[in-house]
Parts: sequence; structure tokens; C-alpha cells
Amino acid sequence: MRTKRLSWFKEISIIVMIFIVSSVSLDWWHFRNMPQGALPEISIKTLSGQEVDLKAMSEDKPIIIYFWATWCSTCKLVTPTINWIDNSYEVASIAINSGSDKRMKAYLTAHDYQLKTVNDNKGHISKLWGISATPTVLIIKGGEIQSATVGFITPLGLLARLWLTK
Amino acid sequence: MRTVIPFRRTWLLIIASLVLSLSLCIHAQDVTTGWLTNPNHPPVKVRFILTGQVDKENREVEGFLEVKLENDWKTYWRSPGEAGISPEIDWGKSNNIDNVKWHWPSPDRFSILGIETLGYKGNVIFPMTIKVKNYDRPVDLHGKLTLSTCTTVCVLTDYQIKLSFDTSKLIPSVEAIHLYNLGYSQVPKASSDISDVRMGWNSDTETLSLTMTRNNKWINPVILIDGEGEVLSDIVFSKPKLHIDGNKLNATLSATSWISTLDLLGKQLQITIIDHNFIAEQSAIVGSPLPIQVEHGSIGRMILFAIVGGLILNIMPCVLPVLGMKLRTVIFAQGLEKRQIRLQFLASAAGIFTSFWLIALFLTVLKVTGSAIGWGIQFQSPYFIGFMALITMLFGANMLGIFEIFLPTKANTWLATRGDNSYSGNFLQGMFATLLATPCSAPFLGTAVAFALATNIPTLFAIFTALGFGMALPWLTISFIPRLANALPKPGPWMNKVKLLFGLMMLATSVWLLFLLTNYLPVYVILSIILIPIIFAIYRMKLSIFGKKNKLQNNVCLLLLLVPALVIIATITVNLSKPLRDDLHWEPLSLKRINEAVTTGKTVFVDVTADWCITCSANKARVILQEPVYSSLKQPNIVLLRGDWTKPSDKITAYLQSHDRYGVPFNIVYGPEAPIGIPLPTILSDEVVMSALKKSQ
Repeated sequence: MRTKRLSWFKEISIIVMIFIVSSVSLDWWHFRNMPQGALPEISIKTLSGQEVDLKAMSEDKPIIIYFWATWCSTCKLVTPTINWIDNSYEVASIAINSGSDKRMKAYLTAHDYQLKTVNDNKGHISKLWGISATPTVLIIKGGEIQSATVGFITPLGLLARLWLTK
Repeated sequence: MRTVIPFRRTWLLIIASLVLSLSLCIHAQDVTTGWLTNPNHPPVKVRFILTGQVDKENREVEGFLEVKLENDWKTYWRSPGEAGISPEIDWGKSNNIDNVKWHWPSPDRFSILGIETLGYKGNVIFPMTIKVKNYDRPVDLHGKLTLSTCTTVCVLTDYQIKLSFDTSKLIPSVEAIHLYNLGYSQVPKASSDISDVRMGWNSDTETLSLTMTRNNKWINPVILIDGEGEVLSDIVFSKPKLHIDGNKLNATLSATSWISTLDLLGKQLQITIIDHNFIAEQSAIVGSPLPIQVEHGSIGRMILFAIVGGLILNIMPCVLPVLGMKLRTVIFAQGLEKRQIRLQFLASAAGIFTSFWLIALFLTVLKVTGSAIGWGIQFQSPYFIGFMALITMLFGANMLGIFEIFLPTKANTWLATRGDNSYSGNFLQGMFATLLATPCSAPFLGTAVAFALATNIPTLFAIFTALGFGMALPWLTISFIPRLANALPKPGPWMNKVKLLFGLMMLATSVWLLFLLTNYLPVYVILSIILIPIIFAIYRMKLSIFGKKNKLQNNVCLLLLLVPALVIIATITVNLSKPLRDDLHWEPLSLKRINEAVTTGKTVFVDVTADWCITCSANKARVILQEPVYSSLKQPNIVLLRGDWTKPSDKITAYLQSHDRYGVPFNIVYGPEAPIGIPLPTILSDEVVMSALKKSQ
């Protein structure tokens, strides 16, 4: 019985290892072009016209930057998580190629999202950050990028990442 | 001297034509961007090509964008559905062009994580018409293509398209025109075959109703609705529910949008129609609601089908290997207390239900992740086959009493409780009986399963529960009326012989499963799998020589019997599962081959089958390889096509689904008189096949 359990344990750890390696390498692939550490020098404005200073915001506590799009299917599952974490952390969302300001505002209102959103309709900001895949979640502290994930993220996964940067 | 001149002339001609063809080649190369890739996104390649076809009067130049996507990457149609964004080219930096018109090929429907999208996978060609401003001046075609591709993440990539050309000097390229036509043949156009198109909007229920007539009969249509403009393009139209009555089609669908209120009255919408080889596009203006009703799939009838199908599954050929398991439960019920009988049979029924729910869960996971689904597809997995082979081997050995001799007492007791009359034993018997029965398809079952797999997840579970209920019905009946158990055969010495027979049958099943594994593993690996338990048994026996001496003789006898028995079983099962010699000339299934054969006046007999499908083997042995069907299929005017579903195949799954089937066996006959095909029932008979062959010719 013990050897059986051991082999199961082995099997499971192999699967977990494969999963970790593949997801890390996928992350690495998408982030090859991303500026390491320091944030790109750029001033961004939200839909409500508010200027966002990411450096100042992340001075002493981690903040989240969420790259997404209204047309991205996995974002439909991740955006509610980001909207929920917005209650306890500072979040700036950057919507890529998602239409006019009017359309973006209508989308946020219709889904009851209170996210501080920047409309990156031409994809300029995301290109500057070296981000080509959505959804991408960055955690920033002290003006530096601490962690990045591409693809689906669970509320628990996001919390774990935030605790790690604390 | 005179003879030299014509000789020179010939050479001059040859050289001149060579130079000319060379210049043609150079021109043909000039009008393509070549394959463009973006280092940030290697799975995608694009190219833009001009075909060289020019319409001088309208100042139009034909070209196309070709996109090659690897693996599961998809790009989108002009109306991408619930998610996705269509590809876009910004021609802002171009010179001397008026506009570029896209021609969108008809898309496929994809479902990932329950989100429905419309788009393309693999290779896709978007034909385009470029309108030039001034025909006599050079053109700079300079565009930025923004292509969105998604799997579970979405990536936007830009590609620079740069082509310069003189419209009047363009020369047609045969290869480019071929590709253009390939793409253009997939673009829906207005068709005179469709008439009487009307649409109505009901703002209370937010449903759109649609009716239209086709001159030819409808086969298996897919209807897509979309609109242009900022408001209309943000509306998501659901998959329509269709009702077909000969040439008339009624459909209802819902429209949703996150834009405040939805009002489609007076709006112009496009209707894309895809029906086998027929594709068309019509547009219509939405009016007031139409008085049509579309049956929302009669769930009640399907549940009844599922119960009957499940019940029939009990008497399908697949039951043979598990018959032993089932009968054991029944025979041992003799002389037990009512309460015990009741509980034992209920435990078996619970096992059956559990298996069906497990299969439903497995199919749900596949469905949600967008994989291909079908009945019995767990047999496409070598791990499942291996697991079942092991289990049947254990059960078979247990029935033959091998463990009583060879295994340590602890393990022996554990196994005994599993294979015996305990409630957990009954439960497991029910479970395995079901899992082993799935390679069989049954009448009614196919219809119910097809319905279940095409609808939503709760309905899928309801249908599978009904299937379980049907299959467990005999068990449930006895558990509610335990008196019935008294009518069953009485136990006696004959039972030991029957037990031996059932044990051998179980081992035969195990060998059959191992035989299926030869599709995945080399034969010597499988042989060693069989040998390991035998060697282990010999080892145990050696130990027992020093232990209980009186048993030695029995053991040796049993082992001597067992080895040849296994060999005999193996030969018989392998021969049985490959019934008779199939010397018919089967070609691999392809739609192209069907069309080709039918247009040349031939009859096509299609057999979609799998090695693990017992009903398929039964059909083969009973009908296909027997007279009169066998000789008829050997006729020179008959083309035989076979689709092998033993291993997962997207192509064959798609073919099955285009006929509303989700499992094998599937047989269909095409011919000059039946270009759409005459689908045959799950269980074939001589009459059915012969009459279909006759009708189609």
C-alpha cells in the first residue's frame, strides 16, 4: 500500500512539475520583450480624465496593472477577479484595441465594473510595455515590476502573488 | 545555306519564349509580400498576394490575405461572436487606392470555456478587391494588418504589408489565382436558391425569428446572423434553433448586447447560410415578430429514447464479457434475505448510475475545453484501455479462483470483497459493466446521445441519468420486487462450471483489450504485460511448494491448463474481433473522394468504425462480409470509404457531427440518386444495405 501511495505521489509531483515548467516558460516567452524592473516613462490618463502616476501609487504598497480587452474570452473570466481585488488594492486596467472611449465606458457600466481604466485603443501603451498577450496581470511595487502572469488567474493565485510581493 | 535559316529561327523562338516566361515568373514573384512572421508570435504566418487579375473598367485588382495558424490558434470572422476581434488592415499609408473590400469566407463555430466564437483554424484565405484611383499610375499598397489570435490567451500582432505595382503591367499568376479561387469558393454570396426571406423582432422576449425557403431541400443547415456598424456589431446572436419542413426553414434565436437597450426593428442584418456544400448570404430588414414556433428540442422524448436505449444496451453484444459479472450477482441472490437482495441490486444500479455520471463529467470537461466529444471515446485513450484490461484480468482471475491459491491472504481478502457479494462488490460490478458496455451503440441510444452532446450541460446530465436508469432498470425492478429473484435459476454444482466459463469470458475481454493496445504499444510490451502476472503466479507457487504440499498438484495442473487456455482465448478473441477476412478494397474517408465518385456516377459506401467498437465488428461479421452485401460491395461501380475512429481524429469527428452523429458505427450510402447520402441505422441488416445501394444508383 505504501509503495502504491509513493508511486501516486511521484506521478502527481511529475504532473505538477510539468505544469509549472510549461507555465513558467510560457510566461517567460511572453515577457521576453518586457522592460525588466523599472517602469516605462509614460504618463497615462484614465477614461475619466484622471492622470495616473504609477510610480507614486506603488511607492509603499503593491499595485496591480491589468492588460485586457473587451473581446478577449479569458478576460471575461479574469476581469471579475480584478474588479473584486480593486476593493483592497490599487488597480489600473489598460484595455487594448477595445474601441472608442464611449464604447469602453458603456462596457464598464454594463458590467458594473468600477475599474480605473485607460483606453489603449491603438495599442501604443501595451507596445511600450512590451505586452502582446491578454489577459496579463502585473504587480508593481516601488516603481518596479515584481511579478507578471499571462492567461487565466484565480482569485487565490492573485492573492498569493500579492502576499509574496508584500 | 537555306536550311540553316529555319534552324536559327527555331532557336530564336525558343530563346524568346524562355525570356518571356522568365519575365512572367519575375512578375509573379513581384506581387507577393512573401511569408511574414512576427518574432513575438511564432505560431502565425501571413502573406498578401496579388493574383494579377485586373478589371480595367472598374479599376479593380484582385488579391488575398493568407493566414497560417499552428495548433489551436484561431482568428476570427467579421462578427466574432461572444469574444474575439476580426482581423483589420489600416491602409492609411497607401497611395493611389480608393478602398479595399474584404470577402469573408464562411467561419466555423468554436466553443472555449463555454464562450461561443466564430472564426478560423489552420489555413485561411481572405480574398480582397482593391479599387485603384488612377489606373495608369503606379500603386503603393501599404497597410498595417492587426491580427488577433486566441487560444486561452489572446495575442494581437501587427504585420506590415508593402507592395508596389503598375496596374496595367500586372500579369496573372496561375498559382495565385488558384489560391484566390480556393478562398473565394468559401465566401457566401447571394443565391437565387434562397427566397422569401423574412425576419421579425420581438422586443419583449429579445428574440429574432427568421423564415426562408430554399429551392432544393435543406440538409443540415447552419445559420449565422450578423450586422454592420458600431451598435449592430456589438450584438451577440445565439445559435439559432431550427425547424425544417422540406424546403421551408424556420429559426428563432436570441440577441444580447451590453449596450443599454436593444432594438432591431428596421435594422438590416446579414444571414449566412451554410448547408453541406451550399453556402449563401442574404440580407433582410427586420420587421415585426413572425408567427412561427420552433420546437425547443423535445427533451421529454429524448429522455424516453435514452431510457429505452439504456435498456437495450443490456442485450447488445458488449454485454457478453460482463454477462458473467451480472449473472453472478443474480445467481447468488438465491436464498438471501429480501433486504439483502434489495440492497445488493440497488448497489449494482448505483454503480451503473455512477459510471454514467462519470462519463457525463468527462464529456463536460472535454466540451468546456473545446475538445472533440463522442460516445465511447474513452476507448480512444490507451490509458483507459490498459486500466480496463487490468481490471478485467483481476476479475477473471478471481472468478477462476486463482487468487485463492496464489495471493497472500490479505490481498486475497481485499479482492474477494470486491469481486464478491458485498455491496461494494456489487457497486463495482455495476460500474465496470457500464464502462465495458460503452463501445456498443444501440438503437435509440445514438439519437439520445447526439441530442445530449449538442445541448447544454444540465441536459447532458439529465440524458445520461436517463441512460443509466434504462440500463439499471432490470436491477431496479428486482430490488423493488425481490420475489422475482426466486424465479432465477437455483444455485448448485453446475454453478462451478458456469463460473469457470464466465471467468474465461472475462479473461477473453482482458485479452481483447490488450489486443486494442497494439494500436499504441509494440506487441512485445503487451506480451510482457501478460507474462508478468504468470511469472508472479509461478513464483507464488514455488513458495507454496514448501508450504501446503497437498495443494501442489492442483496448482501445477491449473497452471498447465491456464497457459494454453490463455493462448487459445487470445487467438479466438483476436479472430473474433477481426471477423472473417476483410478483403474489400477500402479507401480512406474523404469528402473530396465522395464528391468525385458521385459525380462520375458511382455509388459510395462509407463505413466509420473503430477497433474497440463491438457493434461495428458485429455489423461487419453479420452483414458487410456476408452475402448478398459482400458481393454487391465488390461491384466495380462501388467505391468503399472507411473512416477509422480508433484513435482521436478531428476530421472524422467533424464528419460524424455533420451527420448529427456522435458515435460509431456510422454507415451511409451516396450515389447519383442520393448525393446527400442515405444514412443507415446503427445495427445493419441485409435488407437495409441492399435497398440503400439500390436507391442511390
